[in-house]
Amino acid sequence: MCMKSFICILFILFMSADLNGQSNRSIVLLDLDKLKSMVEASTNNKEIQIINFWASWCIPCMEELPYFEKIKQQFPDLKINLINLDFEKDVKTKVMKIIDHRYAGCDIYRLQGLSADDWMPVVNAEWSGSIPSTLIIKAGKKEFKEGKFKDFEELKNLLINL
Amino acid sequence: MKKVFGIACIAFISLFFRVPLSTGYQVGDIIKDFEAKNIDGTSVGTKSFPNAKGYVVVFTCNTCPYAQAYQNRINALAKKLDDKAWPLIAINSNDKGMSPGDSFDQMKQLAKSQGYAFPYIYDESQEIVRAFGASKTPHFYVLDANKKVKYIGALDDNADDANAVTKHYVEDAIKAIQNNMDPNPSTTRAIGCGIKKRAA
Repeated sequence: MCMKSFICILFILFMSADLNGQSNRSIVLLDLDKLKSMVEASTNNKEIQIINFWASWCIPCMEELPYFEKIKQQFPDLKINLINLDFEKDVKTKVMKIIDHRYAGCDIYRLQGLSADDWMPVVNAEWSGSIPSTLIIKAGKKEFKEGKFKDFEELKNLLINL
Repeated sequence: MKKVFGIACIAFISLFFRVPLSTGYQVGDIIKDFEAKNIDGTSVGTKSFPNAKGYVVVFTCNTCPYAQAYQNRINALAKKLDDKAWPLIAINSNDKGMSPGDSFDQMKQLAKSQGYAFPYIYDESQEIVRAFGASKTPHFYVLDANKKVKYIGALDDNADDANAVTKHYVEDAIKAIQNNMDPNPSTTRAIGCGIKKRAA
């Protein structure tokens, strides 16, 4: 009996791994309320968050994306949310390839079916809409950066000095 | 003394209301005339349309996927509008050194292959983009006959799928101006690629 269920579980695990293909990364879909609670969540607690908005077609985004992986390695307690803004048609073909074997410590999100004009002001009232853009939340303080970080040090300094 | 206190109060309160950092035209500003080299070799700008009842100005480029997602829609809008009364002027301000696909030659090729029905001018000096304060492509401005900015933002509310659009912001702004009303909304946001500006 025990052996049977063990085999059964093994089989399920095998099947689910197979269904997912080589990737076990998942992308969490956000609606407006979830986005709101994400950007407001740590205002009152001690969690430090970096929320980056990126897309695979955005060259400067792709240049700075590894900075977030690196900063997570230096500060393991950091919560890093990478919010993907690719076109829907490119998620399977492009986005999954990028996140497949990288950014393990980062959570990947997408905004589904939302008009930019509704969700962008939730992140920052002055955001014109260009990406990459990054919101850092630390001990109730927020810093919003529209545009690419010049280098890793700029990101790190912004985080440390906030 | 009361006065000083009042001023101090205002100064103190204003600390909490940070003025947006974006420079350039805001809704209500009257723009300065601009012109630049069009893909047909002529110089095109606001003065090229003496009978205009309004203008659609769009900062766009050849290379940005978001701009590409909108190129058919921009062309369709230009064809729909009377090009003397409501000219649509597309401007590429990307620095060709930073974005080689945005050279003047590439603009000509794109316009030809896409059958652009509107002027597509090259803001090589980046004077126009600096005056407007446009930050991304595509970035739309709708002006009235007096070249007063009436709307700044996105063309519509769905970049992903033209068929799923529910709000046609630019067309609605044009209709509002035609009816002597102020567009509502007068500003919207949208995703776009940052315009490749050289350091000032």
